[in-house]
This record gives sequence, structure tokens and C-alpha cells, in this order.
Amino acid sequence: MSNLSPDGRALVASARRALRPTGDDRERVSAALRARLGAAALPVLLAPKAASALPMSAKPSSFILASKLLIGAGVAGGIAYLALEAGDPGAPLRHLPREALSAPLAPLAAPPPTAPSAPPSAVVTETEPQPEKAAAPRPATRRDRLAQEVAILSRAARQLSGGNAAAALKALDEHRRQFPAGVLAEERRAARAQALCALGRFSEAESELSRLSQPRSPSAARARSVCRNAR
Amino acid sequence: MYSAASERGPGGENHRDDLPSFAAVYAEYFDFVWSSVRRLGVLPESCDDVVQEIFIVIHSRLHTLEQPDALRSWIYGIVRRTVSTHRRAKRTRDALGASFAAETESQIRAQPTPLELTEQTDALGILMTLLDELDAPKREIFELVELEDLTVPEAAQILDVPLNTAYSRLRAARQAFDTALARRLAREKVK
Repeated sequence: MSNLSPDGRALVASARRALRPTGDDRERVSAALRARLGAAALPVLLAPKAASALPMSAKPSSFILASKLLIGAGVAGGIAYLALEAGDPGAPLRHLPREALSAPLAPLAAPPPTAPSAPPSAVVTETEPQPEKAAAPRPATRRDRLAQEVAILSRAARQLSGGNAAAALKALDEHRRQFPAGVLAEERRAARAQALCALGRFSEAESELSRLSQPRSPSAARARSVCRNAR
Repeated sequence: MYSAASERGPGGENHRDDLPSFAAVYAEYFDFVWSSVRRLGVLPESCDDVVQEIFIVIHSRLHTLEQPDALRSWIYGIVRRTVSTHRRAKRTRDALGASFAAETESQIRAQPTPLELTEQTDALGILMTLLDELDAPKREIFELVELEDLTVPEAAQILDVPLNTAYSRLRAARQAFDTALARRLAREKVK
């Protein structure tokens, strides 16, 4: 089997390390999953201590090669500089799939119900009342539910951008009925505030904005901006 | 890569002796899933949720796995599908957001996160820049084997190509990658 050149191997090993989760990442996801699936499915001892069993660990020799490539010659830094300079500053970064980069850089999405930033020891449901989560949605159908959420909110988005705020509001209300604590609930609230402002219903919009769990998120900022302009 | 037959059981409680427990699968494959999700372009702030979602699906369907020795490619199939669903949801969010307030939008775009800046200068950024030079089929098999640690037969199964094709494509991909890297390094020396 033909293999990569030493430089290539070193670069790959180094990139693989960059893709690996940290201990904190593992802890957070473990805690959230335990809250969703129950401790029986994911015993505390098993979850976070798996690093040694994993197939992703880099060989020490690759590590040295990577260090040589990245630090020793300063070559990689030069390449990185090239990468930085190659595109115009506003262009998307080039090292991830286009699809991931076509969106605004800041997180538009509020963290969905599981609140991943919760400390590992906390029960995730404490951070926000989540009827949907408390009811432990059947995992097999969650994907379908998300697809439905997406369909409804896409319709609302089209209607909003087409200037039909009343129709958008109907779609958003439909989403609220079907998915009160859905994955896209935060986006729904922000979009609702926008639609309400477009209809001149400012106090309702304010109330909607006050319910955002991430009042400083970009989508919240957008909603406020729309409302300011509408007044 | 789960079949229609796998739709039946939502619980994940149907244990089978020939399969590892969910906890064991989680312990063994957490890093694999996480890094695949990152590599497939899910932004860092969404990684937790996408990875959780993937393990929820694994939990519910593990007992339906027909070929236990194909566990990793089965998991990778779930990773791909979940990431794809996540992208659809994200596009919807973006569409909702982009409906309004162009000036806010431009303000948001102007602020790359520290992580993005860091990544742009690290090995991952360099690697991805080089991979951009490969055509899609070569890039895909290169990533599966070199970055995700899949075996060539596993990659062939995922990509649905004959094993011989997978081997020759991988060989060509490695050559193309090394050539691209050598070119970069040479260019740097000249400067």
C-alpha cells in the first residue's frame, strides 16, 4: 500500500489532533446524553474514560514530524499566512466545506434544548423547562420531527422575505403548537418577533423577544433591528 | 447505512449478544463521531448537538445492526445523514435570519470567531486547503481513510465502489495530496 510522504503524514496527524474532542467536549456530551437516555444507557464510569481505546490517537513519531513541519521550519506558518491572504477578508474560510461556510460566521442557532454548556454535573433539564425533552421524544422519530420543523420554518422564512408577515405568523404559530420546545424554537421566537413588528404589534413582539434564551444572539439582534426600523 | 428494517424499534433496549452495549460503542466511537462531524463542516458551536443526535440514533438502532463487523461504517452512515439534516436546519435558520436587516447581517459577518481564526492558521486549515485541490471522489476517500481511520474496505462500502477502485483511487488521492503539499512547500522556500 503506498503511503503518504513524511510531510504529508505529519500534516495529517496534526490535523487529526485538531479535529479530536477535548475532555471537556466529552464530558459535556456525556452529561447531556445521560440526561436524555438515562444513566443506565451510559454509566458514568464508561463514558468519559475511553481515550485510550480510541482509534484516532496519533503515533508519537507523527507528532514529532508534525511539530517539525509546523514549528521547526516555519513553513506551515507561511502556508497559513498564504491561506489567510489568498482570499479577500470577507470571503469564507477555505478549509471547511463550502456549505458550512456560506452562513454568517456567528452562531445563528441558539443552543437547542439540551443546553450543552451546562456543567457536567448538572441535570440538563434544570437550565430551561423543556416539555419535549422531559417527555423523552422517541429517538427514531426525532429526525423526522426536525425535518417537519424545518419545513414549517422554511415556509415562514419565505413568507417573511416575501413581505407576507401575517402568513408567516400563522406558520410560526403552527410551529409553536406542534413543537413548543422544538430544536428551532429559538429561531421561531425571533422570527415571530420580526413578523409581529412588521404587523405593528410591538408589545407582543417585545414579549416574544423577552423570552429568548439567548437575547444577545445574532437572530435576536436581527429581530430587534427589524423592530427598531418598523417603529 | 441502516436499512428500512431498522425503523422498527425506538427503544434500543433489545439487547443482542453479538453486539457491544451502547455504552461500549459510545466509549469507543465518541472521538470518531466528533471528529467526523467537525470534518464534515459542522461549526464548533453546533458540534455538541449534532454528536448527541447521532448517539441518540445509534442508541435507538444499535440492535438492528445486521453486520456487527460493519459497525464503524454503519455509524459513519448515521453521521453523514445526521450532519445533512443539521445542514438543512441551519439553512432554514439562515433563511429566517437573512430575511431582514442587511446591516446587522454584515456586522455579524465581520466577526470571525477566535476559533475560526485559530483554525485558519493551524494544520487543519492547511490540510483542508490542500484537499481543496483534490477532486471530490479522491478527497472523500482520502478523508475517510487518512482522517477518519476507516479501512479501505470500509470506505469502499460507504462510497459504494468496488474495492479495487477504492484502492486505486486512494493511491491517486495520496499522490495528488503529496504533490499539492510539495508544491506548497516549494513555493514557501522560494519566498
